[in-house]
Amino acid sequence: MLNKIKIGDKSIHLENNVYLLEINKPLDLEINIDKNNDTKLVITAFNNYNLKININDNANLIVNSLNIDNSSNIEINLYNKATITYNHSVSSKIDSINNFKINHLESNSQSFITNNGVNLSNNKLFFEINGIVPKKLNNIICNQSSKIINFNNGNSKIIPNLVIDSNDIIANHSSYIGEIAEDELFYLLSRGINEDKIKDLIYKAVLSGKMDLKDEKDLFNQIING
Amino acid sequence: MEIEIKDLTVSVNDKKILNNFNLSIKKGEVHAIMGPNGTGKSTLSRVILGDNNYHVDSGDIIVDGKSILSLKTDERARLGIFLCFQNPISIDGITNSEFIRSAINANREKPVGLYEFIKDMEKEIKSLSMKDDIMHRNLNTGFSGGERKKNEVLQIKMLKPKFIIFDELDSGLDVDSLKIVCDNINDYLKNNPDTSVILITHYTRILNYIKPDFVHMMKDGHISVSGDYSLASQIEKEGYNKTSIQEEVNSVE
Repeated sequence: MLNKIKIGDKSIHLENNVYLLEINKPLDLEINIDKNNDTKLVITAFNNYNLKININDNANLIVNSLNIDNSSNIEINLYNKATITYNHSVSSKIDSINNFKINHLESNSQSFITNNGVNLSNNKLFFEINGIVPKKLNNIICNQSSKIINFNNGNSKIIPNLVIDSNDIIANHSSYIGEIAEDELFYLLSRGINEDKIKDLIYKAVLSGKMDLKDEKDLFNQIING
Repeated sequence: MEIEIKDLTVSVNDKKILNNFNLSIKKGEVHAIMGPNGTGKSTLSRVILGDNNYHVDSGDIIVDGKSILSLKTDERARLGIFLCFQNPISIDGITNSEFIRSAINANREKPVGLYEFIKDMEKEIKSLSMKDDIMHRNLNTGFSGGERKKNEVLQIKMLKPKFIIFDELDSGLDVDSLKIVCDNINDYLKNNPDTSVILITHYTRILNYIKPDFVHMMKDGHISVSGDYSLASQIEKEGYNKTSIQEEVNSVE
């Protein structure tokens, strides 16, 4: 069950639960995941927002975020043994600028950031992801993966940055910008599905990505299909 | 479905892959095409489905009396042509059931009813000894090689094509899975006796399960020798380049 977050305070604390944050107007919000909590946050966003997320010692946060025609700035601070899995999907037919800053502040912290986007028109769709790991931290995982599918002649850009000053780290990044992959297109066409329907399927596929949708599945499908 | 491939010459980046390829398939016939790597077997399968990466320089592909060269890939598929891929791709975010249902609906005016679809799919999943959750998993994502091949055959049973091209069906299948897959294919061909088949393979192992009416050996982009099942046995025994077969090749040429 999704627990809806009431927007009002500038800073909130989330516990061991599944939360829904609906963003329909511009928002500035600080989210704190307290020590030892295991939290899931579902975001549906139709307007611009700035999020600062602090994940304290031994806490785990999974975020599934679906964004339509908006921009976002997201800063994540990770403390000892904190883990973030952030799946950020964007569908955009207007300019959309999305910035991530992941600060590994203490050892044993892990970040897994996935950005997926569909650029529908001639607009900009940018992802800039900065993973920052300072000196003297140990046992860090800092991964980021980004993909944008252009359905038109939009201006899409991915800037994946890993600023690493530590030696004890696993860090990966991957980026893809392009049209529907040729082998995917041929496979779907070979089953008789026409190009319009394939675009519908790929649109949903990109936005759903690797998200393990549970309580939010119907909500996301409703937004994607709408 | 009747298929006639006439004098087909195909190139990629000005390199000829198929060279005056000819093959005639009548309704319900199973044709095995064998040959070493790089002779154009997989190219043939993709050209029949209209892969844009291949350029047809000359010749024709005629299906039930009409050329299909001007048709796009999806249009060819909707005629009932099905390619069982050697390496089926995976797509995150599209469920197997969503994909197969879209493919079924692509050839129907009225979409298939959800109850009817689920009932049929569950039956076929069971007959292929696949896991129950295969319906809800993302298309081929995290599937083993065997599961992917079974998933191709599941699509055949759900989409009911009239002409099937199997490209290296046996690769990635263990002995038990191969038997299950072939039993299902034979069952399909028995229930749909007009279905024509091209079976592309390196090895004769699969021909012990699916008996071909004709066996062809490909060399240099065309069929160099044709025969019955005994040709497959000869290839198995002597290899593609041994003298006795080569002599026949020379006599045909």
